[in-house]
Amino acid sequence: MAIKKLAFIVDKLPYKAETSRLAFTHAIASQTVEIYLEDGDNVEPVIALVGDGVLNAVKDQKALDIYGVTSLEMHMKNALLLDLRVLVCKEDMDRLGLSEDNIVMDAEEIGGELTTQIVPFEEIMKEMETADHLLYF
Amino acid sequence: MADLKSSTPNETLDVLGRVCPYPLVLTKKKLEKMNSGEILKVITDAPASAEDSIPRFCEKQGYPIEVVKLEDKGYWEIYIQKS
Amino acid sequence: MGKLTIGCFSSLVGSMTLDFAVKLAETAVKKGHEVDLWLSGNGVMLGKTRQSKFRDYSYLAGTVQELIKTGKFQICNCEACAKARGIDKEDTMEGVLIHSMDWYLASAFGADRVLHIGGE
Repeated sequence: MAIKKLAFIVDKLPYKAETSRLAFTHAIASQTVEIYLEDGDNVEPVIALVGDGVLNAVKDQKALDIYGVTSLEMHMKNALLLDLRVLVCKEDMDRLGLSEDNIVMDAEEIGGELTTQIVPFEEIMKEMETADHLLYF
Repeated sequence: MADLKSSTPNETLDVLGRVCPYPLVLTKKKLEKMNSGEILKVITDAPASAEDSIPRFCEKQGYPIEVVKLEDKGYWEIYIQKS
Repeated sequence: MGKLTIGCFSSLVGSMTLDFAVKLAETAVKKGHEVDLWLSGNGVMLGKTRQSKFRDYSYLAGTVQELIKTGKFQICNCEACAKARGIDKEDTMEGVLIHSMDWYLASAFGADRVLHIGGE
């Protein structure tokens, strides 16, 4: 029985390209990877938003209303709903003038229990160091 | 094997317009909350989910499944019995 | 011999990133390794059928077909990304698989190395 840790590191802006969306959806796909693996094997994902990637976490996004596209906010809430750990870099939030009040901190309204973790970059480095594979988006 | 599609489903999950990974992830989440013996009807228009990943998941879990392709409507109805 | 999983999200034309990914895959296969190539985002264009060969453009379809024949190379299009671009099963090159995103994660699970070439 093996659990492989995959770190999804996102430093791309939301909506400029589909990159950050694909990071979330690929991480969410970890919930069903078992269909391809032996019993007991699985992957453990962690998503880290760094650099400009922290902007994916900004709340009150209106992508669905204005463009008819699921927002990054919704993808992030889906990730939290499915118990994926989402880390946001504190230093990059400070750089962009963001506080906890500006970003998605939970997915309570859709039944999620996990909350977003705002952490120093050092913590994100540790996650990268302990990951079996790094997926850099 | 019981004819699942003729039975009244206990729950229906409409994931039309959603693509991977959501059809299977949401199906799995829905099934987790259902009781053994209950039937879930999933409506999806994502081919890989309907013809590959959802059936594969059910096979692994040992859940009876029937996949019905509605050509004229462009989607699939999938009947899954949680066992 | 080992297994390399490459995830490539870059466009077929206008970027040399896919060329690099295929070149890397080719080199690894020649060395005897197994390679899985996952295409998502704009990368799914590589899986499209009826690509034309021009001297001034990269022609990766031929290389991909040769790699598939080795039996050590698997290439898979992300179903969602392909469908969003109007690429259905009948538009996909023979030998190119079509699966959902969990295929890539499963491939990464079993790989010795994963090279994720992110999106452009």
